This record gives sequence, C-alpha cells and structure tokens, in this order.
Amino acid sequence: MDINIDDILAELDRDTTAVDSTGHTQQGNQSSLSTSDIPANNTTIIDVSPQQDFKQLMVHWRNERCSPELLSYPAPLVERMLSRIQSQMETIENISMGFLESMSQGPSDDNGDKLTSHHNDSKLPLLCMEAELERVKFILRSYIRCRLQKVDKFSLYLRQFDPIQLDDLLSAKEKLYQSRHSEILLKLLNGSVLKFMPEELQAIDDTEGSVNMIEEPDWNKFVFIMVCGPPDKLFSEDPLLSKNEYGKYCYNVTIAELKEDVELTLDSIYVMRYQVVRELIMSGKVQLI
Amino acid sequence: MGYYDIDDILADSVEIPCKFQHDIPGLGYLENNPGKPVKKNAKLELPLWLARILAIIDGDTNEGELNQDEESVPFVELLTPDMFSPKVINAIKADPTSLDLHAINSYFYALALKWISLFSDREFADIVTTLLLERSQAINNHASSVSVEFKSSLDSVRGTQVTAGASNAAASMFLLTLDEFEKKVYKKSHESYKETKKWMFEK
Repeated sequence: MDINIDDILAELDRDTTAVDSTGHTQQGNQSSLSTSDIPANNTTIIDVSPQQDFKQLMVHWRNERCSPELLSYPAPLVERMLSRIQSQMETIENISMGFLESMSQGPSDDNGDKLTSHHNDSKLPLLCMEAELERVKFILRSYIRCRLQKVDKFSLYLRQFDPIQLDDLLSAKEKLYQSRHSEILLKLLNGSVLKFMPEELQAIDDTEGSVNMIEEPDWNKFVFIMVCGPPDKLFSEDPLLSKNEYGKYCYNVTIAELKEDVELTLDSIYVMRYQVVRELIMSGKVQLI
Repeated sequence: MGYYDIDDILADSVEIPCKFQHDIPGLGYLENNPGKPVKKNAKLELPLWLARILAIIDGDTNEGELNQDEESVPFVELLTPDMFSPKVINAIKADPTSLDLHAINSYFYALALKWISLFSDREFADIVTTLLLERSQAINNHASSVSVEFKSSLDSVRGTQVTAGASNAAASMFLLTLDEFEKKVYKKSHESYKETKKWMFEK
C-alpha cells in the first residue's frame, strides 16, 4: 500500500525554500551585476527582482525583433531598467574612485561593496560589473532601435490610432519621434513632389486608389514560436489550456482561412502565422524565437 | 506588396496584351498615334497597372443608356500573356528546377500573384505553388553550399579573390535562371548560411 505524501512534503518544503530563496535573492542583489541599486536602498525584498526584469526585457526584445507589428511598450519595465543602469554606473564610478584612494590613502567610508573589494583588491568584480552593464545597455539599445525602425515603417498606419491607444503602444519619446519624423517627411514630399499633383492626388494616405498607400503590418507573416505556457506555471488555472490525447497540455488555435484547428503543445516549437497566435503572444504564453 | 515597394512597382509596369472592347476617342497615344481614336478590337500592350483597372471598370460612361446589353463590358479584355501560356505551364509541370524563369519574366511570381487574384484561378495557383516549392529546394541547396575559403582570410585580399572565383559553374548556371523574388530569397538564405559558418569557424 503506497500512500502518496508528495503534497505533504511539498508543504514542508515550501517553508524552507521560502527562506532559502529570500537568502538567495539578497545575495543575488549584492553580487550580481545587472542589479544596480546595490545594498544601500535595497534591503527590503520587492516582488520585482532585477533578474526577473532582465529576463522580461529579453523576452520583450526577442518578441519585438521577430514580430511584424509594433508591440505595446513596457513603460514601467524600461523605466526600472534605466534607473538601475544609472545607479549601477554611479556605483562603478564610486568603486573605481575607491581604488584610486586606496592606492594613495587609507580606506574611506562609502558602502559595503567597496569594503569587500578593499580586502583583496581584485579588479575582477569591477570588470564584470562593467561588462554586465554594457550587456544590458546593448539589449536596451537594440530594443529601442528595433522599435524606432517599426515606427518609421508604420508611420502612416500609426497615425490612424487615437491618442489613447497610442499611449499604450508608444513611449512619450517615441511619440515625439513619430510626429516629428512624419512631419519632416511630409514637408519633404510636399515640397518636392506633391505640390505639382492635382488636388485629389495630393493625399499621402490615400486608401481609395488602386494601391493602398498605408502600409499595414503583415499580419499573416510566419513566425517561429515557442509554446511556454502561462507565465505563472499554474497550468490547471489557464482556461485556454487543455489536455490532448497524449495527456500533454496544449492550446487550441484555429487558422481562419484554412478552417484548420491546430494543437500547440507545451514546450514545443512551431512555425505559425502571426495573426493566429497574436493573443497568446500578448499574454506571454507563447514566445517568438 | 507595399506602396513604396520598388519591386512591386517594377512588376506592375510589365506589359500585358489587351483587347479594347469600345471605340474610345482621344486615347490614340496608347497606340503611338495621338489624335486618333482607339478602335474596337484593337490589340494593345498595356502596363499592368493600367490594364488591371481598365479590365475592371465598366466602359459605359456616356452610351450606357443606348445599348443596355453592353453595360457590363469593361474597357479592355485581358488576353493571356506569353508568360502564362499553356506552353510555359507545361514546362513548369515537366521540370520546375530546370526552367529559366528569368527569361520568361523577371517578375514571374509577383505577376502570377496579381494574375491569380484578378481571375481567382485555382488551378494556376496550385501550379505556381508547386513551382515555388520545387525551386525553393534547389535554392536552398545552392544557398547552403558555402565555400570554405575563409579559413585563409588572414590575408583578406587573396581570400576575396578566391571566394569570388569559387562559385562553380553549375551553381551560377542555376542562379541565372532565378527570378527577382527568388534572387532575394537566395541572397538572404545564402547570407545567413555564410554568417553562421563564419561565426562557427572563425573568431
């Protein structure tokens, strides 16, 4: 007779892991380098950890690079990352100043992190911090550039949205860029070509003519997707998730024009039309690769 | 197919044989003799961007009330161009990979797409799909065969010379038969194969 005590064990485990994980995150905050607001102000544990944020940013970056449309802008995330970069830069500066001082004078009073580096005076942590900072900055830069490229491409398409939708889609700076850039472009076209056209052909966003002038995202573009499941990993609580005949979890989606149902099983990779999986991507259940 | 897509614009300017179904005064310059009318049943080569519209819009501007039976007849009738003739279709069916698409028309796929959407021609769509699939296998073969010269790229000058002469005769013969769309596909896939190999074997 076997009595399954897994759930009881799990309950016991939870206490210990809770302690364990907090200890780990604290430690992570001190040693890990992407993390920024080093010890001084980060003693309380908040639900957003720098590691988590960086992972989030990577997901956003990958999705943005592969998707045909402009995805909505994760404003709080980017703000947090930017402030961390700022403070990490300051920290690095402080530490390197500490190195200078230690060469000339005795130890000074800044923060704990510096004291540890005083003890063995190794340059490795500093090196890692700088490299890590460059890495984060690269991702952020590439992400924003990619978005600007799309803003350029869909400039006319974005103009159709009302301001509220645009707030969600673009950051304040991107909105400024979009309006200014389209203004400049319009001025150039108006001045050089359009003013010689008859009245009815002067519109830049004519949709009535033989060819639609507003370029929309290619909704049917094929993308590679990885089915990750709900972000919180609570499979039984996701209403879209169901089990297939092999007992694996899967999402059911329908390709409208072929009238075909497709099972997207968990942890597998598909090539799929973007339109079909758009909702799943928005909710983070599927990632582009 | 965007508005500012240069390949799309070029494809749209390919000329299609058309037959006029009305006498139209003043349009003689389409036949290169301005001042004269275009006669009914005159055969003209019109660029696709013009022919496409004229084949849809009805020609009953003024005389619509006079002859009711002619009401739904558009200005021109599109005749099947050479590149979609039965001869070409048979050649496609026979052997897609050895076909010289570039000689038939350098914008074959773009035009085929437009043609199919004009006439909703399912049979032709199937043929073009198989054509594309068959040829894309050949394209992939050619794109993935990256020559391994760049190991000696320490002296980069000699390296480029070697790679320039490296693409062998069989490959270049095939590449000359690609149409513009396939060229883009080939170029992109070749670049990505090459970059991957470079990244794997070079530092």
